[in-house]
Amino acid sequence: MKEFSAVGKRIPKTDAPDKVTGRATYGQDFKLPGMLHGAIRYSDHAHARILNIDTSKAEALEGVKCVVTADDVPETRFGFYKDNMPLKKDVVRSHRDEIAGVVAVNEMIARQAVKLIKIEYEILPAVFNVADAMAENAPLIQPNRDSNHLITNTYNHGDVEQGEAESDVVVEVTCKLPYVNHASMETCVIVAKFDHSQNLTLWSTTQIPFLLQKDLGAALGMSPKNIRILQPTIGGAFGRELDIYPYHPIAAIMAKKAQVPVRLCFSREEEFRAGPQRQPVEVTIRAGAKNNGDLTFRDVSMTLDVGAYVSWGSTTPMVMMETTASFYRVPHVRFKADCVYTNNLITGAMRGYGNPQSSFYVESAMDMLAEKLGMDPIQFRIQNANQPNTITEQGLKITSCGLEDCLKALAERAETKLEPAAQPHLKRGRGVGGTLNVGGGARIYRSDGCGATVKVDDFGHVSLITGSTEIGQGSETVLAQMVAEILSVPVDDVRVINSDTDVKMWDVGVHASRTTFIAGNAACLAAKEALGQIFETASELLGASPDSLKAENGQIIAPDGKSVSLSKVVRSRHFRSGGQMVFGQAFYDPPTELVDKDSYHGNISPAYGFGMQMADVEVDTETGQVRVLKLICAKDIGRAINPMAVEGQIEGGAQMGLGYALSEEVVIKEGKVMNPNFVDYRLFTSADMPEIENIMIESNDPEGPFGAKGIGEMGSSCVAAAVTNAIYDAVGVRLTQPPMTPERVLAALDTKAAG
Amino acid sequence: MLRLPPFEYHAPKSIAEAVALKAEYGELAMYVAGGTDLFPNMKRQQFTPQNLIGLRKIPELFQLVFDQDGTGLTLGAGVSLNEVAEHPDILKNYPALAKAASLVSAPQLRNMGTIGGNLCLDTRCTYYNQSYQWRKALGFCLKKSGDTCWVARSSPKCLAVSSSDCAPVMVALEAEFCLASPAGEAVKTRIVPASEFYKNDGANFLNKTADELLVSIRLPTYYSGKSGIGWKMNYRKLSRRNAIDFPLLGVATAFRQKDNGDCAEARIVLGAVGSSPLRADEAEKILQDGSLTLERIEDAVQAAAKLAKPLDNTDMTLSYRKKMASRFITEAFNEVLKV
Ligand SMILES: Cc1cc2nc3c(=O)[nH]c(=O)nc-3n(C[C@H](O)[C@H](O)[C@H](O)COP(=O)(O)OP(=O)(O)OC[C@H]3O[C@@H](n4cnc5c(N)ncnc54)[C@H](O)[C@@H]3O)c2cc1C
Ligand code: SF4
Repeated sequence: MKEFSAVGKRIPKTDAPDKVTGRATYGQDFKLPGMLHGAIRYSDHAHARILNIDTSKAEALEGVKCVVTADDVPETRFGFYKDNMPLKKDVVRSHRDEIAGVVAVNEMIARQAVKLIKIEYEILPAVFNVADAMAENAPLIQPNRDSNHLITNTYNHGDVEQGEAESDVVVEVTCKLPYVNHASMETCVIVAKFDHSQNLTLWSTTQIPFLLQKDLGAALGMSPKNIRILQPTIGGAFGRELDIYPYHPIAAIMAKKAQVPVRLCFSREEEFRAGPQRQPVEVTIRAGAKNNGDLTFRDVSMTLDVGAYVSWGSTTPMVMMETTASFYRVPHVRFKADCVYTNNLITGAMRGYGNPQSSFYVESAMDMLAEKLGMDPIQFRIQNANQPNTITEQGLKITSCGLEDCLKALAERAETKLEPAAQPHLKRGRGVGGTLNVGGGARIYRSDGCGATVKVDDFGHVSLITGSTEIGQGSETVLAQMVAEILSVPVDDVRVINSDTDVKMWDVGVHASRTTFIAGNAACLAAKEALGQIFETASELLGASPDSLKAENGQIIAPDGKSVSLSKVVRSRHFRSGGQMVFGQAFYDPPTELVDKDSYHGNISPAYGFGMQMADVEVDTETGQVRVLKLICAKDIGRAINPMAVEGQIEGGAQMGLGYALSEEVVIKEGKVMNPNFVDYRLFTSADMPEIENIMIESNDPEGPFGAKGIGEMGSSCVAAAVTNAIYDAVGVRLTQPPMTPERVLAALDTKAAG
Repeated sequence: MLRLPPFEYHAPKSIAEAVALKAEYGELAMYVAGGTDLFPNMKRQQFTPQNLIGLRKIPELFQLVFDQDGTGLTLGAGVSLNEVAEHPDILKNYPALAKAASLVSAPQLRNMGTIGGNLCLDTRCTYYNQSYQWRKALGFCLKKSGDTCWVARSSPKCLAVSSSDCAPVMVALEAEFCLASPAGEAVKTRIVPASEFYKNDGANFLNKTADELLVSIRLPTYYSGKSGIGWKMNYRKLSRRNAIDFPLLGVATAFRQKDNGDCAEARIVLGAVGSSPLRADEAEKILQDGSLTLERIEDAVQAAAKLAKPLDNTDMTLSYRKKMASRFITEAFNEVLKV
């Protein structure tokens, strides 16, 4: 195979120097001339009727330009259940509910003015868990509904009763997965501006510029064609901005009333309060296997508290059912998920999108089965591993598949036994956990496509204009590497333009580990088209047929050794009568399908990624503290376009996953966040990180660009599963509720000691 | 982002100038050293000073002087926590203090944060360390602007937690604090023993008037002696993570052993279990003047652990923190006696 010049190289992210030195213009840094600042007034209660809103004191405060309330806008509803509105008028349904906004000369004054708005409420009874929300006579959270029950998702293949009858061992475990927050370094920011023709321009940290155009149009009662969205440098998002949230239209409403650009920037507390959280789940899994180690069935039922308004959290069962049905080979599967409204926080998309939850219960059950069977947990998984070029019962077309290789790599590492701990009250253990993740997008919309334009200018500089979005994941670098590879130019010669809906072609958004794969394929197609034009002109210049030419180091070379520089070819094509520029365009939409809306069968992704992790832990039986000593991550990534970037994703994912496993939880009391700051919300710090070993399994995906598959989410999904299995291995107690805090570990140890 | 409200910043160059500024602006002014505690609190409006009197330009606050005659150390209140943690002479002579300072938060905060600020650290509570709007929606509490304590509604006083890592060590080492305040045109100073500097009342936790400036800390000498004779000291901190977290429990210990290994003197101080560091007198008495048998150590642990009456206002559940007290104190004893 030809050696690559740009693909597969360890290249630091192209935007890293500017980010590290503070030169990048983040949303937080963004200013427009004449721009004013907004702040939002939220509800003081979890459920209440608004009797009166008195904004007079806020309006009178010096420096305040205007105050907006629901009275300033036509009544619109948005969200995919149309259950949310920008500003609440009659009833507030959670502490996150927006009631009013203030525009002022600076953020300080805006926030001060917000406090002066006087709201009279009649407090209504509220519900803070699924059981209470489902009780008879529970207060109804959304009007026009019969109950707080939102939706049930069910999935089946095979016959679970038969599967259970065929089982020699059966296990059951109930797990409770917590709320966690994306905790992006940059909080949500938005700047909204109207021109005189009432066109709206929005600078936003969104992950879905094109969908936001549409959703925002609906929320504002205006046409999406009059909305242009620009994205500044985004300081992380992790799924947080995969939906429209009320603050988006509120910024526009403010800008419209103030008649100047308005900036709205979340505080960290607002991030916790008004932003979405990862979906919490209470789930019971029953699973079985035969004495020979073959899996027989899985039966899963769960409830999900989606909060007072529906966002993406309510769709995470689609991903959880995929893991339940298709991760390892299981002949009989039943899955049921009930989503319920409460007066709690809203839940959204977050890295892994259901997989951190499903990996936890599936892999807990796998270890319990292995133990009952007396099998080695890794060998047990190898026996049941998904295989390349198979179709799962659910209809997932698994093409490349490195799961078995990942497991074998861990088995090899596991031959080195753990050193015993230094003191008797410290116990060590080892556990594995894995995940199946879409490896190249997921067809949730009718289109899962992305557009790209590659243009080469007269100086040989290349622009890739991609529909995709950079949120810190490193897409600009890997996309540039792919284009550079095809055109045979240095990576530095490729600039990626990706921040303007008026310039770039459509893309569904940055989610589902799709950008390298989908935007990568689009970029490659566009680059190949550009290369074809280059060869066409070069063939005239070199007197050789286009298909005999090759590109190398910015030169186009003929079989006889004659060559011409890329830029010269472009100029020659350009500066002539009837001249043409070099530009390629492509729109790539993967060969996938929407799942059937009732049976949920269907192949939603063009590729599937597999990852396994092995955690070595030390449990202090006196304090319950768990220290992770080492994390080995074996991931089927198709191909590493940039190994350094892959490591970044996996290690960053490990940090997030370790937080989920051990320290992070958004604590809520009666719908109110008790720890909305980074002192009390405990992210895993660098001082807590274990040694990480990365094993990249390159399964070379047939559809992926250069064989690559997405890796963005996988790193974080299976850490908690590996850690809980390792804790069990160390001290013989099964923790079912992350984060596995010292108090939970100690309580489990005490219960075990009490018999 | 929560922004700092506007204020006027003063940068006096001497103690006299600093206290004079405080006298001039009165209640509208506050001292600020590293600002790592005060600024977050100002953003959340626990404090709303219009004038800040910065202490970073006052040379006297940066002294770190060991007396010629070996009687002890004078440590300026403005010395950074990192310097306290890493100074070779502090590491050698007051290892418990160096360790406590090294366990505060994270490197960046230890570079900015000062020992003086750490010793004057505001008490903490889940219901207090929240934004203005958060507190207002629930109703303000006793510690600031309100009349109910959300942690214990029947409590007549605030139960916010003393969360400084260095304060228990200072009490255990019987440090003395030198305070300066304005007296007309002049400067008045007084010396307060560390144990009297702290009051077990979350809202009113320092025996110090608002205009008093902590100038320096005076530490007596502790001879460590050789082969287990002399003073041994340690600080142990229970926290969830290895960085950032305030202590859930801090145990400062200092033991003086006799030639025969018996305990001549014991100092045991618990941090983060009350509104002030709590000295475990009873436990000290049990160990004083006797051999360090396992039984006596166990009795002392139990006596000390009794002081820990955790409330539901910090990280971790009540029952866990209660359980931890004796286990963790045992480990703290084991650790220091091994040193
Ligand atoms: C994320 C985070 C984590 C933290 N973790 C810990 C921790 O683990 N352990 C811990 O102990 N602390 C912790 N802190 C608190 C704080 O950083 C330290 O206690 C630090 O030492 C405070 O010192 P400073 O100089 O920054 O104080 P400042 O913020 O400047 O002052 C604190 C208070 O003391 C007063 N003050 C300061 N100096 C003087 C003086 N010379 N005379 C009179 N009054 C004075 C100020 O007016 C103010 O009221 C943490 C803080 C943060 C933000
Ligand atoms: S202990 Fe009570 S009074 Fe003190 S800060 Fe907490 S809630 Fe307020």
